[in-house]
This record gives sequence, structure tokens and C-alpha cells, in this order.
Amino acid sequence: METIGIYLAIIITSLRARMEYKTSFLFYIFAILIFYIGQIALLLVVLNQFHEIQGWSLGEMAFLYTLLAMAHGFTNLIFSQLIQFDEMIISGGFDRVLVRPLSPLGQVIFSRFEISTVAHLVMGFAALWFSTHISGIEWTLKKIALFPVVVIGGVLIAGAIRLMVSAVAFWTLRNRSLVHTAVFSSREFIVYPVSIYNTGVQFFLTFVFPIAFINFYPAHLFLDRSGDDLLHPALEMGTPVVGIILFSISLVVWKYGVNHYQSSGS
Amino acid sequence: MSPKVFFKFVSISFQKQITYRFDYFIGIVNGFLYVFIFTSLWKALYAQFEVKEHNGFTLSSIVTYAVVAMAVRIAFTMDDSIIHKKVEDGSIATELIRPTSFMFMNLAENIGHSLFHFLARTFPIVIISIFLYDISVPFELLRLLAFLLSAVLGYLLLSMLHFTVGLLAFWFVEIFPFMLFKYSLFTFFAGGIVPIDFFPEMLKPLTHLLPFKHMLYSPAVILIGRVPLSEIHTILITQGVWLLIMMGIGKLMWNAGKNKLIIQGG
Repeated sequence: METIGIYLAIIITSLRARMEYKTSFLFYIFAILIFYIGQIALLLVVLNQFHEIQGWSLGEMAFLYTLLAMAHGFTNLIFSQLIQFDEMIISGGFDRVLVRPLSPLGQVIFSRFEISTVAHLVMGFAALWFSTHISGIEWTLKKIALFPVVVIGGVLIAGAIRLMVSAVAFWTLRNRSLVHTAVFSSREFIVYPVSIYNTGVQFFLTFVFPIAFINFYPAHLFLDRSGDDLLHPALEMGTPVVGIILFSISLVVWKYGVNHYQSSGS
Repeated sequence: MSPKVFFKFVSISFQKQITYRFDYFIGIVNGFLYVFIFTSLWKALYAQFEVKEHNGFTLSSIVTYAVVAMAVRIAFTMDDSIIHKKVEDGSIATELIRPTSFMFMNLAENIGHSLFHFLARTFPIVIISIFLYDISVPFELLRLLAFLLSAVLGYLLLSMLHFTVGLLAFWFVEIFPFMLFKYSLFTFFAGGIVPIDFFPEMLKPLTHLLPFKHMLYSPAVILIGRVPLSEIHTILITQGVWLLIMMGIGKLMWNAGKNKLIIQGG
């Protein structure tokens, strides 16, 4: 119980520091919102012209986006510090973490609590409202119960990817591009239905780098789409399972990395 | 500023980029990933209709556009945080005593950065794309020359945009929101992802009032042959006028910023 108290203190301190400049903080959130609105606007321009993408209508695309934004929103909230983890290794900040009697991963994660990702969640809920309205999702009890399970599964997948690519810094030191590609650029894949890609890439996004489970597969379930365009219909239910497996693997990789770690000496 | 000094700055900035090899390979993957996603998207969109042409683009020409726009965009990559960093650590003060124009020195640094991206990233991505996609560019000498000129003008415009937004660091502590804001507008209005021809009619007048489309869209449509040879000069002149406007704004802001710096005691 005592460790939880310590973590809580760390979170509160980081939040306080962040709120020091209130106006710039608010403008920061505003800018993030504009950024996402700009991305969505491009999608709207395309849909305005072509009406649907591979059989996915505007409302259905919005639901794809809902799951994406929520998984990334919560992942960002929890794992934001990992984005600059290589900095911590290079500057020697990680050495300090190692000498404390707390879990290194816990300390890294809780050292920053990125509240500005509220913007992602705002976008996520807006998209959810919008898609429920337009595509008329029928919210049965089963779906309502499954929704948080799928979001948590998505967070586990996205979090596991962050953890793994951050752990690469234990070996390569600087790995900014890898983090950028695996975390941000790859997201671009699942803004669209994964079925627009060739089979090889679909396979890759399902079994190797399984981000298709964050939104594409579970969306079939919520939107009552037939699973005909799927590699296999059972994949619809895969999100929580894939999340747990991937996250367990990422913890092993991380532990292995910490053991391998040698201080950069700075 | 003498050409010799200018190229010295270009070369220093270029060399800074080659330090991280691992980052470099991932960078190519990252760029190609975007090419792949957007070509897949256009293919899926065009496959939905019997019509072979939308807004004057055939599938082949829109795929060419997607590759060209992405290639140009990657070649145009620059570090837009240079000025901000110099203001933050105070090294901006040394710029004041240098006998060279700050605006041109900034440009030199940008060119070094971009030259690296052009040689190391754009080049491989274009080669890969030529083998993978049905790309066709009309081969007319005059058109190629016009493209080069238009690309240079577009590049200078983008560099000036970064310059002016970077100068805001004189007045604001946190400049990241402005950069995100700039990036959002650029992504949407420069036509790097969806060409402006696809925009709804109500948005088109707005694109004429903003400089963004002259940074990517103009050179790209010249190269792929969307614009008849006889109309190219109008585009080039408009680009030139925009460049003069942006340089004027940059100059005014730099002078105002410099005064503020002196008042603060630098």
C-alpha cells in the first residue's frame, strides 16, 4: 500500500508542474484538438467525394476512429514518458531510477502523467457519439459490457508496443525514429479499414504487429458487420487475448533490457 | 552573406544528420509506410466506382501524385525548432553579433538538413515506388525545369513559414502549440495527402488565400502534368509573390524580436 502512496505523490507533483503555466497548457490542448480535427477533416474530404471506403460508411469510419482514439488516449495518459525514454538512458537519468527501492518500470511510467491527452479522449467520445448517431449502432447489453474490455485490450496492445520499442533503447541508445514509426506513423494504418491493404500487410497487422485488433476486428462486432472480409471471423473477439499476450511479452522484453542495461556513463 | 560561408553552414547541418545510422534506416521505412498507406487508400477508393477519373485524376495519376507529394514532403523536412532552442539557451545573442543575416543562416541550416533527407530518404523511397507502382511523369524538359523552380520556391516558402513561427519564441515561453498548429494547417492545406482538387467547392477559395498550397501542391501538379505548360508561369509568379510577402513578414518579426531581446538584456 505504501508504494501506491509514493506513486500517487509522484503523479501529483508532475501534474502540478504541468499546470504551472495555465494558459499555455490550455492552448496546448487546443492545438492538439486542431491537429486531430485537421486529420479528420482530410478523411471527411475523401468521404465527401467517395461516400465510403471499401464498404465502410462515414459512421462506421467514425467508430473505427473511436476505438483508435480511446486506445491511444488512455495509452498516452499512462505511458507518455516512454516516448522520450531514450533521453533518460542517454542523460543517465535511468541510473537514478535503478538505485531506488521501487520498480524501475513503475517509476518511469509514473514520472509523467500526460494530462493533455484529454484531447484524445475528447475526440474519442465525440466520434463515439457521432458514429452512434449516424451509423445507428444498436447498443445491446452485451456490447456495452464488451466496450470497456475492447478498449482495455487496445490499451494493452498499444502500451506493449511502446514498452517494447522503448526497451530497444537499452541496446541502441537513441531510437527516436523507431518510436516515432512504431507509435505514431503506424497509427495511420488503422485510421482506415485494414481490408484496403494487400493480404501480406493484413497478415502483418494481425499476427506480427497486431494493431488491427485495436479497432478493425472488434469494430465488426459492434457494427454488426459480417466478418466476410476478415482473414477469419473469430478474430473479432481477439482483442483482449492479443492484448494480454502482447503485454506479457513486452514485460519480459523490458526486464531483459533492464538486466542488459549498462549506464551510458554520462 | 558570401556563398562560401553559406555552404559551410549547409555542410555542418548536413553532417549533424548522419550521426545516427539506426535512425536513418527506420526513417526510410517510415517514409515508405506513408506512401504505401495512401496508395492503398486511393486504390480502394477508385475500385469502388465504374468511373475511371475523379477531379481530373486517373488512378495512375493520383498514385503518382501521392508518391511525388510524399517524396517532396520528405525532401522538405527541416528542423523547425532551431530558433526556439537558440532563444531558450540564450545562444541567440551570438547571432546578433555575427556579420551574416540571421534569416539566410537559418536557411542554410535548413538546406543542410533537407539535403540529407533528400539524398538519404527521398531517393530510396522514389526508387522503391517506381518499381512497385504504376507511376508516369510526362517527360518534357521545360516541365522538369519549371518543376525544379517551383520546388525551390515551395521550399523557400516552407522555410520562411518555419522561420516566422520559430520567431514567436521571442514572445512565448511554450512554442510547441504554435508548431502543432502550423503543422495541422500545412498537412491539410498544402495538399500533401489529398490534392486540393478533391476539396469541396466551399473550401477552395480559402486555399487561395493561404500560402500552403504553394509549398507542396503546386510543384507536384506541375511535375505530374496536371497543369498545361502554358499556365505554369502563373503558378510560378504566384509562388514568387507569396515568397516576397512571407520574407517581409519574417524580416519585420525578426527586427521586432531583436528589439525585445535587447530590452530584456539578452
